[in-house]
Amino acid sequence: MNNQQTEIEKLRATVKVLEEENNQLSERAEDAMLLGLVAEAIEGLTEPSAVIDQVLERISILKNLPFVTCGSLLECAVEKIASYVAFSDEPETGYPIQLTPEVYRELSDGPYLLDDLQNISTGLTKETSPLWSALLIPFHCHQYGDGVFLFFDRQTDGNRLPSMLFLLDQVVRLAIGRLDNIFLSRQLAFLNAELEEQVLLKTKDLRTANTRLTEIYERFVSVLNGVDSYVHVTDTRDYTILFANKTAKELFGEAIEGQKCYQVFRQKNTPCFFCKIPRLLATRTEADQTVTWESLNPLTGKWFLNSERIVDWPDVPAALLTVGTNITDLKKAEEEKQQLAQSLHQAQKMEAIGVLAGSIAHDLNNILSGVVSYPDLLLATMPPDAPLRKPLETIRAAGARATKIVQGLLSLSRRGMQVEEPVDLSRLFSDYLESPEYRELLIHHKKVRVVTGELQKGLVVLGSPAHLSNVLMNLVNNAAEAIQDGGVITLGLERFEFANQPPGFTAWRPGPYARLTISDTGSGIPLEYQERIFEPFFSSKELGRSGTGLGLAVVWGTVTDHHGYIEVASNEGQGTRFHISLPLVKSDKRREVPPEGLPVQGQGQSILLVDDNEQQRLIASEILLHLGYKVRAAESGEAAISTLQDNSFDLVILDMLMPPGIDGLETYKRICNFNPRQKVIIVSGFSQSEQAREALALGALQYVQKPYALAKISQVVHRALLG
Amino acid sequence: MKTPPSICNVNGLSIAYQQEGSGETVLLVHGITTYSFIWRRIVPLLRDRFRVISVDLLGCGGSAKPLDVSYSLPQHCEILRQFIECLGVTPVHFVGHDIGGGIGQLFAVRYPEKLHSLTLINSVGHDFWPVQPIIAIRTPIIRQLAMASLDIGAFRLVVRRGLYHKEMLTEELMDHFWKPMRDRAGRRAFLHFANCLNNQHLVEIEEDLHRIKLPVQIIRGDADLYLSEAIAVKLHNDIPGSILTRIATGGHFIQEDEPESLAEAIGLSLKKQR
Repeated sequence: MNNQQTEIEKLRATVKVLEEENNQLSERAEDAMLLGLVAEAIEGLTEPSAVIDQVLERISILKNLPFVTCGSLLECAVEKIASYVAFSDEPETGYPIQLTPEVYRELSDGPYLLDDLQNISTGLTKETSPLWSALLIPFHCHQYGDGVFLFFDRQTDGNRLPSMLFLLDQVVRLAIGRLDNIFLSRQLAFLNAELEEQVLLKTKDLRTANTRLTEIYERFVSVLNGVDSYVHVTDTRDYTILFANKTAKELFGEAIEGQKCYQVFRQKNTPCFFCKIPRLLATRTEADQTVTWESLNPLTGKWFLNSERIVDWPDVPAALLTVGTNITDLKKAEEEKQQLAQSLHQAQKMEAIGVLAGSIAHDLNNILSGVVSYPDLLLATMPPDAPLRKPLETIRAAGARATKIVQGLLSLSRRGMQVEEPVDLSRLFSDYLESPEYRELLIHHKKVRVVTGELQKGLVVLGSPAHLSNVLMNLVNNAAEAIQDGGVITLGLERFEFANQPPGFTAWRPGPYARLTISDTGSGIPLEYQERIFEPFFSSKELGRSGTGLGLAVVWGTVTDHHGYIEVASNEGQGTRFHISLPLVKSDKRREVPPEGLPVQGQGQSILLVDDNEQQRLIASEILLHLGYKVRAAESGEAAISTLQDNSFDLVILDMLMPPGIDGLETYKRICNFNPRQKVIIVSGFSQSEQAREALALGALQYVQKPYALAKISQVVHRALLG
Repeated sequence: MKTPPSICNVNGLSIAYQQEGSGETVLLVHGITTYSFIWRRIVPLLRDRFRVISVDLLGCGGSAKPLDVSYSLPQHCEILRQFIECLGVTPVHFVGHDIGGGIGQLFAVRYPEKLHSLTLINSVGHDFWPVQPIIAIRTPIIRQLAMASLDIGAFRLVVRRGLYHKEMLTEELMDHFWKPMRDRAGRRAFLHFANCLNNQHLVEIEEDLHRIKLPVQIIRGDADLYLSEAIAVKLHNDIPGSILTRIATGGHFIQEDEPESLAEAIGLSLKKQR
């Protein structure tokens, strides 16, 4: 029995231990469940007070604690955050709560257990809760700062709070963790929102700035691309092209940006020797330092006016801005302008000299008339063996030479060709080669050999044979004089056509030309003289042996009057070549070139000679009488009108200039008024003038230039009387 | 369409109730974890013959939930007496379920003249409740309830254990059960209700039960896991002339498991007693 009782006791003790363990395990399981429930309840909550509410309610219900609360610590005073009271609806139940300084200090070390409410003043009255215990767990969080959780229990089943300490501490940590999490999330959300706002603002600013920059860039590029000049920017450190506008790319290639400027613009492997970068860098401190220069680009064959300066450029310490304007057309125009100016200058000079020469020639012509005309008359009446024939012939020859000079001067005045008739150029050449002047030239220049190349036949131009012959003679003379120690003069004549208008040849028309070539192996013309050789009275030692200084000027004037063109090529020490190009006459204008004839005798026809110069009247009268005409003279236009009104004449020879009375034209007009059929020949000491042309247009038969030469006047008079 | 509850003011406490039908009054009193909704399948089966009043006890359903008033059985008993007097429906056929059965026992002992009959369905009795551990989970019922008030999962477990036909636990039924727990006042009143339960109040009237003269029917759902068969047997033995009706497929919430059988049992009992 005792054994059985002992056994029973033992079993009971074992059961009790097992029950105790079971209870403890159950409690642990419940605690774990409680933590789970608390965590679940506060998960996702965003209001701090809701978190504490949920925690307090669950603690109170699951651990059967009648009053649990949480408050901020203001020294010893507890300011309520949230409470859960199982036994009352009154929200402020238990408050105010005040700790003693001792308890407050203890809290700094962690949780604090109170077996009674001696050290804490609460609103819980002794009547409703005679035996209270409390557990205080301090905390610190961002939201509330320092605070405390207070768990109150009635000690109906003894003081249960010590056994709950670990669990409640865990719950508080869980709750505070959540509070901090909420706080930090809010802070983060706030900061995020602020950041987002700032980013939005910044983004907006950046977008605006970007749009503005894009617009500016587009305008910049648009403007630069709209410029006809090429514009490029170069890095002065390594000559890399940083920017190029459309014109630059069109001229030098699309992909030039990033390449070296000297490669792109000059196809070189090193910087150009004339590069302006070093100079500009050296003087960049000077304000508005710009270098401007002209250059011919070897790749494009175009002229550019370049303007360069140092400019700011992003990420480049010094960039070179180059603006190159295509001035090729300008250059061409300038050259043409210069040529025109030169031509004009030459023309003006020639004009001025022409006026002077014309005046001189007129006077000299009158004086020469005696020298030229009287020997003819005297020789015509003198026996062939007369002792004075030789001196008279010498006088006549001198007069002829003087006449040539006067005629040269008259040519210079460019008052037109005295004669305009078909001229066979090959005959001109052969006539010259048989002339006394040519023979005399060979005598004077014994070391000169004249070679006649191909002289194409049938090349006929319209013009003055005398003037053209003079051109040939002048050029051959010059060539001979340029040859000092023996040499060759080569003459040529060929048909020729210009492919394009030659520079400065304003009278050029498409069509066939005759090209006369006179070249020599002489000393050549120094470069500095080449542009001036056609100037009147320009003479160098080599060129001026003839002494007049008018030779080439006359050549130039004659060729120009014949609508021709002169080209000169000369190398000093090697020789000179002249090409004279004259327009060929059209076939319908070609006529039989009349042969030079002998004086034609008259048949006693009556002639009224009108000239204001007494000497001229005398000479002309002598010649006409010698030719067998009846002659009467009048000293003015007025006297001639008067004579003609009372008398009839077969022919009137009318001088054009008869100051101070009426001139030849006016005289002719008045004659026509009362006798329109009157035959009239015009004479003048000047080249054919406007008055002469008008008179011819009105019906005058011929124009004859003074001085009166026997053969010439006889033919003209003869033709007029026949017509 | 559900009609809104009526309110009767009893000593400043509002008591909610539903009233349907006419005839002798049948007062339906619920137990813990439920409220008047638990009679929703029974009322339609009785209202053709009786005036059926289903009441919400203090702290439950639509009634007031003060925390400074005890929710003890005697307190409920007194409130219900004033309630039926206020409505002027005495005497009544008292039908109590669970705690409601405990209140009915007190009512029959204290105010037998205000009753036609007493029907106890899966009722508490003596000291076999509520601290009796539920063997299956080894946890006091009060702690179970505490947990259930906070966690619908735990609550569902409680309800599920109370049903024989597990498939009857629909979301709609769970919504009815969980409704008071949705707010803090409901939860707190519920826990206050549980804390106020004291089996001592029924132990005190153990002897009085033997002197009850009223027609009494004890209905036992044999599948009730919360309250033991011993309670029903003891009540049947203690109350003279009482009838013990057993429904094999009825769980604790027998109103949901077997409403027709239950209503029939109630109806037959009332008819016979009358």
